[in-house]
Amino acid sequence: MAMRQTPLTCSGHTRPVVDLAFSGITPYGYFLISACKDGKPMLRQGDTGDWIGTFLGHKGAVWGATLNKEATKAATAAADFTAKVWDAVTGDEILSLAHKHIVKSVNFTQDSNYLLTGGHDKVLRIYDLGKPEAEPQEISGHTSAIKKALWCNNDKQILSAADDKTVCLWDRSSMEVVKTLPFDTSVSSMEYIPDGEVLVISYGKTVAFYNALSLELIKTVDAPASVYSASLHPEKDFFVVGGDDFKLYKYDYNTKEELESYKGHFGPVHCVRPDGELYASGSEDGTLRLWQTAVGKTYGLWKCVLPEELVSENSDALYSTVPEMKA
Amino acid sequence: MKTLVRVLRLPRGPDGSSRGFDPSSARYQALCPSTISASDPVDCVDLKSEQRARSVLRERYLRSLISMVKRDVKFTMYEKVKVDAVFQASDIDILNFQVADLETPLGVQKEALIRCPDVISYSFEIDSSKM
Repeated sequence: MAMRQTPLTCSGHTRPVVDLAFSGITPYGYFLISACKDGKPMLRQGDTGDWIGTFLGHKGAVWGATLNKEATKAATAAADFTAKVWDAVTGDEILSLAHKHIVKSVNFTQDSNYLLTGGHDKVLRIYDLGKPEAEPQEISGHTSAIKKALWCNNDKQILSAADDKTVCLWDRSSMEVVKTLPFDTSVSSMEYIPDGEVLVISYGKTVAFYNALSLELIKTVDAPASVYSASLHPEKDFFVVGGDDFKLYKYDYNTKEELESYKGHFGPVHCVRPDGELYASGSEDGTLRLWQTAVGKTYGLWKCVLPEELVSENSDALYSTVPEMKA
Repeated sequence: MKTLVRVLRLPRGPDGSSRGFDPSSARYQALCPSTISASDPVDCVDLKSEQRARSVLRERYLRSLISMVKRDVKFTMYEKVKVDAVFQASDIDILNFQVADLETPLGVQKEALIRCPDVISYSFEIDSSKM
């Protein structure tokens, strides 16, 4: 029987949600962190969207947020010119790293020992979290604000996307640029999938997939509206796109066919993150929504209801939302 | 006509009064001692005595809050603000104080919430007859 997607709305933020990140799978499940212009990034349980805590301390919009694999540390990048490292279990602020301008992006290495930051001062910085007092290593080269900075190739290289319409691949030891990808327009999002070394870049209405090591183009897909964020499912069978038409699109990665699209948000979708059984979206409307990968499957808060059960419903906990249209 | 997927409940949102990170959660209990700290690792004995000191200080602070209930408290706040009020209660994270009869330049506010981050210091008189 065909089922309609019921997204789970996570409320709590009071301004646009601009970045989302999942942790790895931990013995306590997996977690989701959201960056918001209200300056209060939140940690949620990944499979249910239940709020766990809010990281309090930033004095400006938070533009980027990330978790380490074990979800024991969090890092955030904000408009108050700082990047902060947090204890993701207690919610305490551990480090505040002063920058010279708005910080947009933060990323941990796999061992959580180093933090990469990038922002409006156009410089990539690498902080040794074991020596927080030491000056960070700096990599200059971009001529405009850095939007996103990511570790790649087993933390041996760095990928950065900037408003100067380039994506650059840097070698960490030499701190030199290895390759530059020029674009006609500013890149709106960049995602790195380590398993398979795939780079997902969105610009204009296009989503492009590259080999992360060689920066060779694999394929491009065009969306119906300007794309703000695109992300590939870890198993590389589908990717999710969110943009300024308030909708979420799900595409088959192999055939490039549009599989599903969903309305639900009341504002442009700024970020999407798939993670196995679900994907999360964050919007200008201040909400996060969780969407099922396999619609109708029992997982987290979603319950698979067989046809017989539908007939005999009475005291079951029943949640029905305003019907959402499949566009 | 497609059927909507059923949901057990809505995701829980922030509780509005605290910043979360429930210390009684399984994850907190298991990971707390070993979560990272910016300072150098301390050995077991130092950690125990530090925790003991923290417990004593916290208990003393909480008792000070209890003794403050229904008393006149003078708050010194940012922007050169000094106000008087009768203390009623604090929230669990000591982020807000509930006060009564808050004396402000606009008049006396019967009930008010004072944001603790706005407070620089506060003072009140202990009833010496109870000591």
